[in-house]
Amino acid sequence: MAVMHEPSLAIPADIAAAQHTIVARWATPGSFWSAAQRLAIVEMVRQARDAAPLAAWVTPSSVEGLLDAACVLPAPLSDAIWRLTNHPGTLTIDWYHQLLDRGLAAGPYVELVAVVAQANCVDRFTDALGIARHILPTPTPGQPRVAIAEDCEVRDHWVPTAAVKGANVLKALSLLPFENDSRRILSDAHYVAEAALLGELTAGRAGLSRPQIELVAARTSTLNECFY
Amino acid sequence: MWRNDPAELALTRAEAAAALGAEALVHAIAVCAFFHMMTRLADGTGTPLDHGSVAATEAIRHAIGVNNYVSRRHLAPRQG
Repeated sequence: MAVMHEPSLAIPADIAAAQHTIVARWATPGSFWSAAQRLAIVEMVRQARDAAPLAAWVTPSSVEGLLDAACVLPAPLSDAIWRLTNHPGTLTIDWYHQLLDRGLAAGPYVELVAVVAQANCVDRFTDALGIARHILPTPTPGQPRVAIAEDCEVRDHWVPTAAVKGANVLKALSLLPFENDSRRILSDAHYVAEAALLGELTAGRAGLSRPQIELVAARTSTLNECFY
Repeated sequence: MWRNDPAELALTRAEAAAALGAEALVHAIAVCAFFHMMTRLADGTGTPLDHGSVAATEAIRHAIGVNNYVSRRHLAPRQG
């Protein structure tokens, strides 16, 4: 059953269900971050998106009063979240290595990227429809429990990935199966079922042909200056 | 991209819904939102162009100017 929010626009049930699953996952302990920290990451994405634009090279922690002093995230993490959210096309391997040199390990970084990216997907959908963002749940108590894939190492990406086949972008989160599964959940509902990604390339969905879907994807990627 | 102007966005939604139909508009927004995610995953993890696409896209990448993107600077991973 579809959920109505405007007389003429309805959110498909599969998208609504996927988003509720992802929001619930934010509120559970991850591999490296607690539930409270994961929700703080989402809150920081929202703060970054709602703030007046900052140049890519200006870190929010360097601007007096911009970040909440009570935030549980350290300043370098907040700066990284803002950069990932508002200027993803400016990221370089040197920027990533600076984060590593400041003490952030690759595993926690990958989980951070995953949650930031998911929050951008879910919130941008509700924002574009002009409806309220999801209310963030109460964090589930508990410590992070490391769950990483076997045989991960730095291969073609900056970050460690598992030895799996497929498109490079589908390997990006292979270090963390839980986050990779979240990406698949959103892909199946928002885009194209992953199993059909390279199958029937002419099949449409919800009134859009596959070429139209790919045009929207390409235009969005262009606006984000994404080389991949 | 949209910067916090609900009235402008509502007008754009209405125009798009009239042209596409409501169902297609909602799905187009869903695809757009999903690719705001995927671009951050790709650029945040240093995802390189797939091996099979490098040579095949050389001319088109040059023609459309994506080689000028900062995000193309996916250098080889640090060794050691």
